[in-house]
Amino acid sequence: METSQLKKIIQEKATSIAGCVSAAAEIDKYAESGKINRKKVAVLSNFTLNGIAEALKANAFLNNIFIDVYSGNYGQWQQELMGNNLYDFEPEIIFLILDRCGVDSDIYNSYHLMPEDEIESYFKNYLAEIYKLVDVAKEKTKAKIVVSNISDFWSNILGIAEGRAKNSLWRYIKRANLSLEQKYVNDHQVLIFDLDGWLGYKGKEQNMYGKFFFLADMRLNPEIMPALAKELCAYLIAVFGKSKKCLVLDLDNTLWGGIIGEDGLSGISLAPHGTGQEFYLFQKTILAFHRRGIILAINSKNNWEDAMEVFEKHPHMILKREHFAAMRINWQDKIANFRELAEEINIGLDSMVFADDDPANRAMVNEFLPEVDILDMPGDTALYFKALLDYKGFSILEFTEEDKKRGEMYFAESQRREIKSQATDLDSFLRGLDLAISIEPISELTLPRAAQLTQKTNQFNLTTCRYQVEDIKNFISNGYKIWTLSAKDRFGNYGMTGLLIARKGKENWAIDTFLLSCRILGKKIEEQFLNYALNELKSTGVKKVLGEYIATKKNGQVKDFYGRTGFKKINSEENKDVWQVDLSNFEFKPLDFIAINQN
Amino acid sequence: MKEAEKKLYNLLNRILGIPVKSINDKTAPENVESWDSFNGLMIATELERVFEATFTIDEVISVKNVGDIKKNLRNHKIDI
Repeated sequence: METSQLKKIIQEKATSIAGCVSAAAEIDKYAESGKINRKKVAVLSNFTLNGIAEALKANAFLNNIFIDVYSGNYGQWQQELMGNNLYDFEPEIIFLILDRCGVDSDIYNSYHLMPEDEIESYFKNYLAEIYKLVDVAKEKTKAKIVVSNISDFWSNILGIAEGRAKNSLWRYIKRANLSLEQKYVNDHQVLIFDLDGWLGYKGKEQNMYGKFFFLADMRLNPEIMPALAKELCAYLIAVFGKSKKCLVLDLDNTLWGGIIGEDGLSGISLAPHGTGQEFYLFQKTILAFHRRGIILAINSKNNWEDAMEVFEKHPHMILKREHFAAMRINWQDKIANFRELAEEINIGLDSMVFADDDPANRAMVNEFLPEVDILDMPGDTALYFKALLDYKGFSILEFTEEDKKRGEMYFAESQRREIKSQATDLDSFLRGLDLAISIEPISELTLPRAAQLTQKTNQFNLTTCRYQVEDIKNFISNGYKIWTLSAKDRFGNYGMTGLLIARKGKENWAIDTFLLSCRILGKKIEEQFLNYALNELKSTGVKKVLGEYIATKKNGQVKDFYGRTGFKKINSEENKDVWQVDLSNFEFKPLDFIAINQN
Repeated sequence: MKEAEKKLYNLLNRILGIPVKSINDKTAPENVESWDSFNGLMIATELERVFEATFTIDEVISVKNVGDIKKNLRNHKIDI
């Protein structure tokens, strides 16, 4: 069966718990026949979570993740964590979902009679036990451990009197949850799942302690398993690297109400109040995600001029041209547009998610481009912003500086592409960029980024030596000369993107490391950096410099780099070429369109 | 076969994997191997979803066979 066919079937089934069970069976068959590698997920609980394994499988599948689930034995979560079976399974992620202060517990029913110190020590011991078991788990596995916090059922015995009560259960639970969160805030292995918050969002009243609590100790009603699976899947998406990077948007009836080509600028609905407010909020939410690092693109059937009129002239457009990495606004079919967008932005189709009000368009993309995720756009435009907020495809474990800057960087790239397509030749294009590089000896501040560059750079890397901060520190104390390069142009800052490490040999100096980030290649910065360093070495009396090329699967493009920059090959072995340049004939000729070390 | 009966038998077929033709009022956990406690739970949740009804704990416990399911559905004004 084709993936898109199965995807449709699973999408239909995954809305109910019984459907998930049947879906999971189909997925298992599919995975087995395709010998697909499955990720390992474990779920432990102190109550019955039957159906969660199947619901997780179904939801994971819809996110292109295939999983095998280890369900801990009923009532044995502590034994599982202390035993061997769980770890023999070799889980990559362990979910610990607990409800131990529930309506049937002693604490719930007698907290109002307990002295403060007794409640205090109850929660202290509760947390201590979790911490101890998590420590045991951390010693036995590198799996991510997701621990649920404590859920407060809301209708406590003291009711509104809790406000004045010293022994308020609600307050103690909140405090315990805060401590739990604080304990692991800097821990990269343990994550806290706000079960209390999520249940508040879904509704504790309708979803907890139903009849199946009595029939099967299902403290969460079985109907909520698909929703819980969707929530927990956010962790799978983040941990297994399936986060979507790019939101592709339609225009008419998606970013504004109406059709610009028919209704005209004053006829479309988009406003902070009244008609069109839901589109205004949707745009606000989209922008917030963009500022979180999500790349934006447009795929719309429209006349370019009509669409641009809205961007340029409508008073309430929150999204502007500079927020979009690429646009395909034309009368071509949307599938072809998608392929072009993916190529232009240089990301995979499987990194994209599509938001379009038209179910026919969504179905078409789902059918022909199954790798593209489809945002579940509700028929009611009032629910658009919710659909985006509830979407789990963008889940990441940590929000970094690079995420923050990603949006601007993609727009800067799109601007560079635009002037490149208008330039008559490479040099005039480069001239138009106002390139400026700054080459500096390595410092304490730039050490970490330099080490990171040696670890991450694969393509323009002559020797691919991977170094830690300690290694580079050693080089410095051994008299190596190390330069870092940062670059910017008129569209934006590329940051620190180049490194050259030169070491003194018996007679001559040798270039141990020479690398540059992909994003600054093709702008003649490579040669300028090398020549600057050679010039510095020459000025201290160095006569000859050696350069090595060590072949890897990814650095083929630099095999002849030294050859192109005036070196001569003096030795060649299986995977290694040694080049040499005689500095007595060398003269540094800086290119006039790249400013060096000028602020 | 009434509409509701068809719906019920299809539901049982989906969850238990037994052919619709083999289902009658006497079909029960005793004579269907796949009707274990987990699938009993699935049947109960699916019935509520498909027939848009909410059963009490007593109604759920009282079910010993398909005939009992039909009794419960009739109590919820379903024509079966």
